[in-house]
Amino acid sequence: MLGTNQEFCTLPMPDEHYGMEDYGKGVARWCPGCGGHSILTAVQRVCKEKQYPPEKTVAVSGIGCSSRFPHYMGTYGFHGLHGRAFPVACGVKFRRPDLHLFVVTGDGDCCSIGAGHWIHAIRYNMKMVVLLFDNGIYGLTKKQTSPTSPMGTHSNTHPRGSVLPPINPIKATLGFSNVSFVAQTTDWNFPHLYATILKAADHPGLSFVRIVQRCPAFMRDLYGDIAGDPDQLILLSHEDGINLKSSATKSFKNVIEHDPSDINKARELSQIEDKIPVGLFYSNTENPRYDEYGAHNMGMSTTEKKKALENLLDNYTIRKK
Amino acid sequence: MANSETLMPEEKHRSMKKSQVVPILEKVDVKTESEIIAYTEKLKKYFLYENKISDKEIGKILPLWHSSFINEDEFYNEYPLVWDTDDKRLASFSDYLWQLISEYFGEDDSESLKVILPQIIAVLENNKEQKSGVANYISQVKAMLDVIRSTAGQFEDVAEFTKKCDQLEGGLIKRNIEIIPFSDQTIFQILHLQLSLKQEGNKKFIDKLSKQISGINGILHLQDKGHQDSEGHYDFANDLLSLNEIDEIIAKPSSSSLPEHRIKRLKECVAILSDTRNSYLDNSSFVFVNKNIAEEYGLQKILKEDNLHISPSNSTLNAKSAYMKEMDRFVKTISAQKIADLEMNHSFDQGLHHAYFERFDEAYLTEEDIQYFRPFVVIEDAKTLKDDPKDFLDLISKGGFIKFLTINRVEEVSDVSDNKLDVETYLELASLAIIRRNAFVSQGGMDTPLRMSETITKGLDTSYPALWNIMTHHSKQLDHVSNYLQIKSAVDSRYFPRLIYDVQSGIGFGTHFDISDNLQPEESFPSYEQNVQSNSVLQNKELNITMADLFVANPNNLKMLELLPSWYDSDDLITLAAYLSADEKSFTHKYPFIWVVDADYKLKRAVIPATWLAKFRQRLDYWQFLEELSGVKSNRLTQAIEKERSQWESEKEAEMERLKDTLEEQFNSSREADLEKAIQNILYSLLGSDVDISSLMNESSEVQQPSISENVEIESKAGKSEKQIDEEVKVEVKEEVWIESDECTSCSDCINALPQVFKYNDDKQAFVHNPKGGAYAKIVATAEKCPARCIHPGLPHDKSEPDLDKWIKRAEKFN
Repeated sequence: MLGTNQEFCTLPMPDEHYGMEDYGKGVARWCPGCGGHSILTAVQRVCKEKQYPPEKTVAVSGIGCSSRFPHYMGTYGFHGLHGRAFPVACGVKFRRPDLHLFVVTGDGDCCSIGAGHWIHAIRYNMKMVVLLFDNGIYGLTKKQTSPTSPMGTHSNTHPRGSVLPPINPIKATLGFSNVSFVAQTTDWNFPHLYATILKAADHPGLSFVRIVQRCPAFMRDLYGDIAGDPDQLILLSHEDGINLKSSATKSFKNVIEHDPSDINKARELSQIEDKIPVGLFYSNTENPRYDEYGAHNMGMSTTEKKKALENLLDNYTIRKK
Repeated sequence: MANSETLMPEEKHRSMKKSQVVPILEKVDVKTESEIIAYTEKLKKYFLYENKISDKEIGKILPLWHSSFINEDEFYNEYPLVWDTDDKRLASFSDYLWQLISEYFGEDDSESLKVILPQIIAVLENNKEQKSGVANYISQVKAMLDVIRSTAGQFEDVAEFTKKCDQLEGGLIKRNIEIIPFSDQTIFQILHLQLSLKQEGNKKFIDKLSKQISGINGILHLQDKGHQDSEGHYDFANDLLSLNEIDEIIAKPSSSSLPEHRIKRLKECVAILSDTRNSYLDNSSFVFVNKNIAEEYGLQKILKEDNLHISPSNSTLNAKSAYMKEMDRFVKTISAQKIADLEMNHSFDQGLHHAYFERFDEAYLTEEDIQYFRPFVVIEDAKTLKDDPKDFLDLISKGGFIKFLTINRVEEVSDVSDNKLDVETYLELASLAIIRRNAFVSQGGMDTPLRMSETITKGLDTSYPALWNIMTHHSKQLDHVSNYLQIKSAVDSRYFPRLIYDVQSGIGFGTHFDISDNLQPEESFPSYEQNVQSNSVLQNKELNITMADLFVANPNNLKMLELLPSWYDSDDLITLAAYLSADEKSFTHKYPFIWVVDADYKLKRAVIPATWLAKFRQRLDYWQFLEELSGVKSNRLTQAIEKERSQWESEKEAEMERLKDTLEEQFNSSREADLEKAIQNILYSLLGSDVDISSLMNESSEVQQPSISENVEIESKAGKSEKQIDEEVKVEVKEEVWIESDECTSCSDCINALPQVFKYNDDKQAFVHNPKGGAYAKIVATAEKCPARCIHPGLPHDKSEPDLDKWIKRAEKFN
């Protein structure tokens, strides 16, 4: 007779399958029409596509509208301090390289208060997907100028219009040392968004994805018109770039062929400002990764860990003289 | 003015009580109509001009409400009061005695003694001499015990009963109690007792002061003697300094010589503290009163221990200046105390603390400090304060810790000889205090002395100013029970309602009010049930207590009533409560009456003169105002709602009528048309197709009946056109609403707007679940809203929707 022992069981046992509902939690409390909804769905779909176990997946964020993201993921999450999504994420990755990591940060969180961490996180090149939700405004605090707000933005901090030129996150990131993956997409073109994040998740190292995002509440003018006009986007196309279905590619009117291994071309393209180039700017899988240095004692057993701890504590033993 | 007939000597009370009489409703003799009309004319003259109809003396009559209290239980439940000096407790003697009796006699026996409890207590009341002193009290106790012993016959074991009586006598005599009988002075006696309780608190303060004085003197002593004399300051150090500090002092010999400014400060401190201590030892409170009241109520005797200040006229002004001085002293004392504490801990820092104590004033006092402020009581006539309220309002609005006890005399209230309307407004003195919203206000009569005592305690304890507005009596004309009943009727008839306004209770203006101590606070007038004997049958009548009960209790006012003969009956007669509760204009030719009983205990009706009504209305208005403020009931709101409702109902009724008419019309006309049709059909089937039906229908000749062939034609036309339309629709309706699911950004906009039409698939991207699940207009609006522009509304599925052209045009962009 056949027993229940796995070794003797001849029935095919299906692996556990995760659906969309396994990655979702609660009701997303972003405004109606906010780009956050589509990014959330895209990330959940990527998780489902990759079949990341929810208990092995972490979403880390800083502070801002975007940073509510971990609350809506049915995975582990860390809603951190303002500008400190990167340090937390690096900490997680350095000690637990086995976890799948999504870092969610906003334009204010990343490019303003967290800019210092941004540079070094790029340089550390730990494997994680960084999603920069760039809506060009501080939405959570009800409309203040952010580092990426275009010149002349009327906000509560600049009622007569902002006076400084904005930061270009793509251009900046391409300038940091050890940069390994830089892509840009928009929240309103869902197929491209999904494909970009999927590509980023495959990248060994830090993949930086800037998502041009609409804010229907406070920055309706910024991308509101562009969203309906396929003319405003330029698709960076290449066989090593973002893999789009041919049907999805048709909707783009402007296409530029760009090899993502060419960093100089990438820097050049990043300077296009009248239209929005979407696609993979730069990718290099050979760059050194700092998280590989944090995993040297991952395989220790409980006894070994206990012993190490005892050794450590022994340093503080009070001995009779 | 003493009227021997209307007075109610106590013997009379006793006899009534024994017989437990119920009022009798007289039989009615019927008179002719003309006689009744003639009497009504007379009544009108009486009501308006007070022309009395019968010249006869009205005789001995009693307001019915009072008669129900004739058994005096009510009075003896409240009075006399007893003050237990050991327990510091005020109680009614009846409760107190009952407690003792149940203690000594056990449950069963005490129940049978309950019946004679009022009788026992009445012994105290009978003792007219009211001598104070131990000898008098013992003789009273003996007299009471005699009453109890006289019931020995009821008990089986007489010896045991006598033994218990002896024990009770011993117990009562041993108790250290003080009897406070009902009199016009009762309120002041209660005040005195409450003030004496405050002395306990003062003792604590004095102890604190003494400790601080000795502490500072110790420091100064240390300076005088120098450090070498260690014996001298060890004692001091043990008391007030910690061990560390002693070490410090010993280690630093220089600390014994103090800087000059510190010595100066310490000496000032000691001077202030000693001065205050002496003052607190001398007096524990301040009472201000003017000469008239002091003499009238013999206050020198009652309040002599409470630092009584008698001023020739304006006691409030006097109190104000004394209060300022006392407050100044108190603030200085508290500041000196704080300095002393700091000094004794060696933590006074010149730079840090000097400036703070320089500007230390009243606002710096804490709740804890304030409890040691000695009570400041001003006793004043309510009338006097109302006439000149400047200083009163000034003190109340400053939030000073000053307490006012104002007196209203029930005789003055019910005196109608002075017929000025504005006189009565002094009864609203409480409103003046409430309007400032930072005072504790209590109003009530001496009919409930324990309640008054409670509010006096509360008023003295609160850190807000307080006003006790009290209804009491001063007349020596009437006996105690009559006086008591008069006060009770003033309070219960809403003439002088019970009221508490406590700023510390509740959260809003309305919740500070409490009028729940009144009888049936939700009614305009309280009612009570009275057994009445009518034709030898006992009837239970529900009657109202009205202000007339108060007026009638005053013997001077009785003469003004007109007793109605028992045969007179008319629709124009109406009870006073109903008369006052309704609108003034609705009763122009009606006469309000009240029920009274005569000497034979027969029920009579008495009409009251119109001149009284204005006062009653004014008081009732004030009561309704209080009801509204305290949120019990809003009279005006009820009236407004009633008005609105009646208006709404009449409108609805009119509309219903109109609808009914039109419906009936429609029904009639359609019935006629149907009838015609039916006749046509019958004729058609009977006579065949070639008959000209219209010629037969002579009555409805105007209606053009199409011939049958025409009918067929019309039918075929209609069929054709429908088919055509179907074909046309088929071509265009191919495209119903559809969605490019791949493009969907999952923003949930469409799902929220049209949950029947759009749903999410497994990838959380929208698809069309039911294309006919929502209006086309809504589908188009949703397509416009979609951030991914992936909804294509197609064509409308329901052609009957309004403004379709507009929507189809708007949808073109997305199709």
